[in-house]
Amino acid sequence: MLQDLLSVYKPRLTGHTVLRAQRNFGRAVAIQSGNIVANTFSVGGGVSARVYDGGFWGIASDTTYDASAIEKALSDATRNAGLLRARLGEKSPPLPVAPSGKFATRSNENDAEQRAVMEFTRELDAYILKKYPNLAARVVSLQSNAVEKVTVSSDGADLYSILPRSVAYFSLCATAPDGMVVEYTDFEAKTGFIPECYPAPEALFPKIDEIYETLMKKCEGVFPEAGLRDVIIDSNLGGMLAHEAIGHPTEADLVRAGSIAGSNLGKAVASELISITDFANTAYGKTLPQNVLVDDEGTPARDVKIIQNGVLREFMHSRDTARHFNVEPTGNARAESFAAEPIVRMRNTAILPGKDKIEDMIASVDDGYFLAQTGNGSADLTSEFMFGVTMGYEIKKGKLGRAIRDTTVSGVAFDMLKTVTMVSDELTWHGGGTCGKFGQSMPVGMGGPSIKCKITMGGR
Amino acid sequence: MKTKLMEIAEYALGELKTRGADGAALLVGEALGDSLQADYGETSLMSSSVGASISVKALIGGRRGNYATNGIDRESVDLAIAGALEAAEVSVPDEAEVIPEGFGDYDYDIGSTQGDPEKLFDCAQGFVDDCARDYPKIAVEKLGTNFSLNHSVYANSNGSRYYGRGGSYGFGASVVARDGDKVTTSSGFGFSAYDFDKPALSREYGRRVLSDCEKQLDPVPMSGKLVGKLLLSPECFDDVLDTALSLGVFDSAIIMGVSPWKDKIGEKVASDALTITCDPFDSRLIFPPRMGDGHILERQEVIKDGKLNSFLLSHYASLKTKLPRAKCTSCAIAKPGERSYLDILADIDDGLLLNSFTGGSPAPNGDFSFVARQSFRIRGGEICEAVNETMVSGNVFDMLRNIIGISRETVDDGCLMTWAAFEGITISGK
Repeated sequence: MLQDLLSVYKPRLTGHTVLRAQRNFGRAVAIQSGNIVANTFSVGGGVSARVYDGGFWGIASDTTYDASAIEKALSDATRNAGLLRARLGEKSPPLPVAPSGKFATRSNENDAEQRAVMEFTRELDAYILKKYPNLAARVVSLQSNAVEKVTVSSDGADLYSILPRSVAYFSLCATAPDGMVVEYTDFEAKTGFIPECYPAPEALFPKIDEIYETLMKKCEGVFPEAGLRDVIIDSNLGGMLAHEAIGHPTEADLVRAGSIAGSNLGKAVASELISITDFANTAYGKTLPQNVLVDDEGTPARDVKIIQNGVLREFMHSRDTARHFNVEPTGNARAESFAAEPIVRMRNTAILPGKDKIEDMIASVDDGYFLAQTGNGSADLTSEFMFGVTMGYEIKKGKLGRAIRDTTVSGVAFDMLKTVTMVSDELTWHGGGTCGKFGQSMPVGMGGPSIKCKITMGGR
Repeated sequence: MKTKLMEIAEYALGELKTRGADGAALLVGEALGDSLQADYGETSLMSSSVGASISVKALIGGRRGNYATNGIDRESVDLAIAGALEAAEVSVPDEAEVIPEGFGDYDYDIGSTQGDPEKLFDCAQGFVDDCARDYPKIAVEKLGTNFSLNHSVYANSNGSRYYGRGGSYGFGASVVARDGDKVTTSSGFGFSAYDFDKPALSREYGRRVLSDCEKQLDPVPMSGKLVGKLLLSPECFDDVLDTALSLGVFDSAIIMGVSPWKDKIGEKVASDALTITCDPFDSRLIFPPRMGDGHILERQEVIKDGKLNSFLLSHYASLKTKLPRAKCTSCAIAKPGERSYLDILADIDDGLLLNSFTGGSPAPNGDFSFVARQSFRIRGGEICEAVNETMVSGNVFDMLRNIIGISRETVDDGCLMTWAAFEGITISGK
């Protein structure tokens, strides 16, 4: 457990100052067609100080975590902010106080031994090899990552937090009848260390069987027809849509940079069926994948109701952007590592469920596609987004048809979301996502129902 | 610093041997950094960092274990040693897990020995001022300048002792164009330098990025579908080439046997115009590496006049597949053609200028479907309107066989790539 060496400095913190100690752990075993290509453990950590002075920030960090490094970080961060103020003159008054307090997230901290992770992963690989010997290639990996933090701030924040997650990853390749090598990748992510998440390999065998069966359908798949199409986006992808299409354009630092969302606050930007929230830590009585109680500026985290019934209501904020837009900070400032600057990031972003049944939604499509699985996505300030589709099916006259091969879909979120005519009544959460922004990678939670809309598909 | 890092390396190698490793390799380093950041065109943040790290690889009877941590005090080094040994003990033997042969002592010293904070200010402010003067619709979203000084030692149990010291300046900017409520997608421009001795926008590449960004304010979605030609900017060609090489010649694709080029050594895989070499000794490269994968790097020809000359296999993958190890797997350089990119553009009657793309991962056979970014329609040999909501689909391996032009111009800010044109690409919109 990360030792709290920071609390004793609280009485000395003035203005707006935050001290953060953080350790990021990673454990992984990966087997590629029977070859062990990863058998690793890594830990990276240290301490940083962040000081605000006259509208400027100073940060200093050290990979050593002891009293001497903390003193030096405080001193250097204060010097850095002061240098900017002295050179450029005071730019802004002090930040308003954001009262905080003592918070803690706990977890079962029993991490697996490397031997157990190795044996577990080899059992998964042996299962695939024995049951599906004709595969062209296979990759299996089991990994756990944890972020452990101690944060104290001049506004009273005093946080201990540990957020572990474990991921079982599978990628299978087969040769299709047309001679093409087809790949299907899927993973299962859970909150916690490996022993808690995956007590036995057998529990993952059904997942492997499902991936294999999906791959076989994909081998028989056809290329989708390019163009604007009627689609049902499965709840597996709903979270990706919420994150990429709406989440990024409504991060307040991007709004300040010119995101198209900025001129649409208070306006209808989507069908009345669409509501989107960035949840801080819990939703519908459950703890979410990213359990953020206090952000990396020491601000208590609250839910941000981005879109309510189609109307754009609010943005996600750090202390800096909140002051710029004259609102309260929302606790969305997060940093990848102890040394990184906290920037506006999502936590657990979801489209809220509607009332439709998925069967009725599919039945309502005469000629279109059912998009079942994704691998990655991106978006920009114009709200133009894309995501890769790694599995899907044709829909013909209300029924699922042939599988389709890999494709990419795109659209302009504020146009596309107005085409939504049905939203399903289920909500699927994914905790295995990683989001990249300004060079920082951050674990995020994503959730969504299934959605019927029009979207531009790539294809032949 | 060299002495301190070498002592840590010798200690760790000694301990690993004493505690049962029959082979070991490690990388130990220290880094100091200063950086300056501007948000929305205004200086906002100054930071300084002190960092240290060690990564250890241990072999016990052909079983490999790795451990990495970012401390080099005795406690951290001992943890890394114990962790790598523990991981190796629980692994399974693999005859391809061998420590590379020793190369003796090798020192590599490059770049500045000390950063100048004034240069960080001057370079950042100069860029903001130049943008405001020459590109009035450009808004600087985020801008960073930095100096970092890195010392590292690689050592292995076969006698290799490498010491590297590099002091580098770095610049990176993310910009958009704005006009009233209109805004473009973000464009990026960055480079590394031995010194900040000239303005960031003295680079033609940077000016092209800003100019193209300003022209993106009124994009038009493509309508319909056509099979046409693509002109790729050097940065975009680099991305396409990366995709092809990753699916065609790197470790995973060859070990798993799913590369479409797995049996193509010595055969034609691309147009005659394409020659790709990995050359860390090319004088135009900034901060080329000297050591990788436990070996001192050498020049490696990958594709020559369209023929596949070599896979880009690591030491491990080479032993695994019994195919030659690559002498270098980075620093890819495309051989320039004889025509200017404007001449190549003039020959394109209907197509797209692609500056960037995003999309799902291509299939193992190279099929892809990407969204065009920062791109323009080409008609009658001229660059026309900016496009959005436009997809390009094809196959990266087919693309390399359908090259219709390689420019004589190269971009030499990190990658040494040319402009390249292709035919037979599906371009589609709404």
